[in-house]
Amino acid sequence: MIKKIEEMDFYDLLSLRIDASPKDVENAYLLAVTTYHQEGLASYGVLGDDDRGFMLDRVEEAFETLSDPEKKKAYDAIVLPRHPEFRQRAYFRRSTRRLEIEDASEDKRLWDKIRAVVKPSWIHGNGHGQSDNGGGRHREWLPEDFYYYGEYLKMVRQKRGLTREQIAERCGVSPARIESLEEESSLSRPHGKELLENLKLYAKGLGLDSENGRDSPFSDRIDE
Amino acid sequence: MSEYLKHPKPIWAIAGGKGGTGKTFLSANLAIALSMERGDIVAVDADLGGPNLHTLLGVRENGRDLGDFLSNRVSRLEDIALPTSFPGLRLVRGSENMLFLANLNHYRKLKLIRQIKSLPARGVIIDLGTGSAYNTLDLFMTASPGILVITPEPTAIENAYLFLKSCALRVLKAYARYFGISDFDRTLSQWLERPSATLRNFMEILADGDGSAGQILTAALNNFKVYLVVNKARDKRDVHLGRSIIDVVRKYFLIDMDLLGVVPYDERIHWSLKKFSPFISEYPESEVSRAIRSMAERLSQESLPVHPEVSPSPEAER
Repeated sequence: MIKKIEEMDFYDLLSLRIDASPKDVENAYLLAVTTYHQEGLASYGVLGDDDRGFMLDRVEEAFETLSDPEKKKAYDAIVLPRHPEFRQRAYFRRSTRRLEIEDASEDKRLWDKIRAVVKPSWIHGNGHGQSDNGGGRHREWLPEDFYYYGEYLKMVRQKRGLTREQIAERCGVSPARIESLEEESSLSRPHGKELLENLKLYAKGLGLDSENGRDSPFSDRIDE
Repeated sequence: MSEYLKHPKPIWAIAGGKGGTGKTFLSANLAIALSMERGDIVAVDADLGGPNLHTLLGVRENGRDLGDFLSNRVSRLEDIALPTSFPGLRLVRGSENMLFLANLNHYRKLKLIRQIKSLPARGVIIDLGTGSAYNTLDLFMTASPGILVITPEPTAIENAYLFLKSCALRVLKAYARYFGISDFDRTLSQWLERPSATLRNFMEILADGDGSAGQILTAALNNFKVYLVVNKARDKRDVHLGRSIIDVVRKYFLIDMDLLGVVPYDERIHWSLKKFSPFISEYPESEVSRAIRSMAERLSQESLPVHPEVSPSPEAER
């Protein structure tokens, strides 16, 4: 059944998945503000000033709630059990009353995210990059393709205390290219197979392959 | 039944609500990229009012065209799909001689759609005309998926929304007629009297009156898949604009839209046009060409696989 806009929960409002990270929330918030701002081109011709104002108020309210861990926890307790995504994908573990995704290791989730954004079709397809959690649920993990992979690679690099120059030397990709991958700039980053090749080298440089105990999901595509 | 009909092929239709967004530019270059990616592609110039796909593909000589097919001088569309200088790419050239083509009658339109669907090829790309005429909408909805091209300007965006709204209403009317949803026309008339109301408002009103009708029609819209391409992007804000538009379309039009890609602005496009040379072959390593190849790769991977039993036609092999 179609929900009225004013009845949408904050996740639907910001087009977020229920397992969105704080950074996802922030990105979605910034995008929504741009979308519904009075000067925003995207809502021009669709929404009047009053509707835009209403949406901006709701977006602010959503961000205030989802960006504050305490408020988010209280909000999730009410909203998530009713959320269709929550019910269908059974993330909730009855025995421990925890979300399964909270138990997943960060790097494993990272790989799934990279797979989902670089080649969404792998998740559904012929065994390439099949998610351990099954069901192809990561295909829609992120709202947009080619959007967040750089952010996660950057996060792992920084966690390991590596500079761009150090990782560039280690993986044989230029520092400028590393920067364009991390910034996900569609204007300056490589595309297609070259993008996969660069990501593969970057990920290898971070040592993600060995940590995950399996082959890089990029390798079989690059060799084609 | 031919192997082509047993294994249906992807059909991509490229539209834009406003002229000058780069529909034909994208059609020509995407057709070349898809022919390199997939092989045996037919590009159909269905810009019935002002065809010039042949010019962007560097085809200068005259030959049989869509007018010959639509006026029954040629019985099969396949017979006017002529080879180009790009291996694996054939072109059905638009007609410059028949002004009435822009107003195809129902019979001719069905004939064209049927023959596009049965063309022996591994993929068909249709370059559509500007605007929201029924013929354009119907050809767009033949595709799986349709590709909507915008530039980051208010006029282009406004017309793109108008185009999507027209498509959505056409889909809804067809479903309402099929399922005998009696309240549809009355609710539509009431809704059209409120100029600021969104398509979502309309669906809400409809669902309030008849829940099952709302469910059927919402599912119909959700099944209507459209890709967005932002052309002539100058900075990162234009990339974000594409994402914002998708959010608005999903929320207020209930259409499943996704971002296919962003094509950066490039002054050299002008020069390639003047040279009658497709941009992708003139500047293969440019950001524009890379973006287009990336789109072709994605479209090819997401569409039906090339079936091994389907061999390229002799024309395509030339």
